[in-house]
Amino acid sequence: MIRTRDLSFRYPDQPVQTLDNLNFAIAPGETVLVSGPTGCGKSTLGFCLCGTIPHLMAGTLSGEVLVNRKPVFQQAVRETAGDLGFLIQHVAHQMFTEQVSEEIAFGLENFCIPEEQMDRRITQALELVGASPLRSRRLATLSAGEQQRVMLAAMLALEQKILILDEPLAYLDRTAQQQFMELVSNLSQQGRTIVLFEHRRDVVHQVPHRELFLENGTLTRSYPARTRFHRITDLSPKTSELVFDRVCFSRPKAAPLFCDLSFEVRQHQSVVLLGPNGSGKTTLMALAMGLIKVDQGSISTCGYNPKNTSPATLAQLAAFIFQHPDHQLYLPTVQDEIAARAADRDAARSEMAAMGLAGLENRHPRSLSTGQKRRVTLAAALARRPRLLLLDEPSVGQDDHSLSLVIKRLMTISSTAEPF
Amino acid sequence: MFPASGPVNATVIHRLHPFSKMGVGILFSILALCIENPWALAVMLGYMVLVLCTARIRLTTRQWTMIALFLTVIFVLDFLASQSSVHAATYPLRFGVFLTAMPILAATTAPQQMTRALSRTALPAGVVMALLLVWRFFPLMTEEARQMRQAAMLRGRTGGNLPTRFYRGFLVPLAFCVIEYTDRITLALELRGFTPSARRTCHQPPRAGVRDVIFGFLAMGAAGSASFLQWGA
Repeated sequence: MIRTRDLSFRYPDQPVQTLDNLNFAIAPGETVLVSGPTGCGKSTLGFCLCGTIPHLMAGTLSGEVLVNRKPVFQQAVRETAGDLGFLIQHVAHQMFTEQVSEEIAFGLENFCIPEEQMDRRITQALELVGASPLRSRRLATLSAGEQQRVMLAAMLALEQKILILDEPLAYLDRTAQQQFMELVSNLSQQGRTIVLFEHRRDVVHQVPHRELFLENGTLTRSYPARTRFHRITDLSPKTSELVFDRVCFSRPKAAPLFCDLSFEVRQHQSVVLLGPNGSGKTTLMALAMGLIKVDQGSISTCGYNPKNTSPATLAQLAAFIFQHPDHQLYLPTVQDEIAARAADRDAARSEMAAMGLAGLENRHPRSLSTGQKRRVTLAAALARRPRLLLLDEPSVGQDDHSLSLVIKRLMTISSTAEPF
Repeated sequence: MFPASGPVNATVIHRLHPFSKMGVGILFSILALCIENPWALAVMLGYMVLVLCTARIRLTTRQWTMIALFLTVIFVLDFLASQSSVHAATYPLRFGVFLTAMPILAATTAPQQMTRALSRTALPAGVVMALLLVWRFFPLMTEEARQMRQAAMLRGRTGGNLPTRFYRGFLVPLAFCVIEYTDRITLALELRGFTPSARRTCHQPPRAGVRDVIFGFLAMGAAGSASFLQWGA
């Protein structure tokens, strides 16, 4: 179904090969997991398989990729897309319409499927992914898990034989992850060829028939042991740093997100906030930082009421790390970014080292991988020595190594009586 | 101006052919430019408010207040300049027609509906798709800008003076976002089989029906009444 022969690729101005002499074959009906640390070339391999490299992305390419015995590099991306569906990591970026049925029809329209066949195909595809009730819903009102299902249905409606899923679990909560993997397992049993690009091997390890582990652009036979993360231990809690007292909040023209929400986070305590997509985890942090205001109730962040205090004042005591690091990066080098608001020079240096950013001091933050960017924003926050640290989805886009660095640092902070 | 209201087929106004709504919007806007009789403009505005209600577009009290305030300011300034209450009433009413005619169309027409309607014309597929993407571009960029603004709020006044902070904290990240968006869209379009030169089919193409005829007749009635009030006597 898929065969690569001596596939190598190097991005312009990069000294090393991103993919180096890859040779593998994937049989029809097989489910293959392609894993490896961030930056190892997984996405690049995906782009080669679907033909966007070399047709849309420049670089030095050699070797060959055959999909359904057809040479991918010699045919247009659209022709390859007839056999192979590619679900990108952030599915919302692949959506072009407003409504579920229209989104599925969009692909059918592009492939010139007659109008009279469209409704049947849409119905079948939605049934396959268990999303029939969503047919008339607006895409903007769906959760991340539902959006994944709909986009998968959009691929199934085209009857593509091969499905490539690029980190499909990145933005899903645990329940949605489990449901999505069950769906992938069902599709696999129905004979679809599935290639799953995912660095979180522990979540997906039961589904694939085979694993290809990529490291520095080459396939290796030795898979690293799955990382076990230790629980962050707390010291005996002291003063309250974050208090929510009977907080109510609702978005305009929407049902209340929280009502009478009360909790307390104390000094040296680490709390994990769990909840499905759209349950308001990010909103809760934004409320704590005064970025949005509560409707009722009161909040105390490091002793200040966010309703009467500017976010900048609160940010001197508490740090909020966004889910997407790009929005918080604004200076030309990693060093500038971390040192900008650091308590002192030593703090900046030590945080950079603790986050494994040594050697990247003079790089532009936007040229880094997602995991590295996240560590830069975290190091910049920790260098300010905040009393309270709010991390929004800290594991997104991070491989085991990157995540272990973050957790190790958090453990140090949490288990030391006077961390700073 | 108006928030997008409800699903694609929420009301009869949503189900109208996009070209019917576009035609009425253009007709009313041109007519409002020519008419000077406040009663005639009031008839047209009344019709548009009726359409607004039928489309179940709900404005918040704050939005109504802002609109009323804006129109009142225009009335007062005009009255101070012209010393004529009739003249002063004309301009707020004319603004009212402008502010409702085309935005109602935008709020009740899904981008996909408009694209499908346009795809039936002689416009190239690439141009039609570009219109669809532009339609999607602004809400996405608004969301990105919101998060950049929040990051800037957390940074406070550190990082230089206001222009420097604006350049580094807003313009540069926004430029990156726009470039990334363009890249992602190109990639996603190709992966989903879109090619400007290739022929496309159309799922549920919009078709003009009885409701479009009724909508057109009612609009012509309102426009005719307004024209009579202006020029008939």
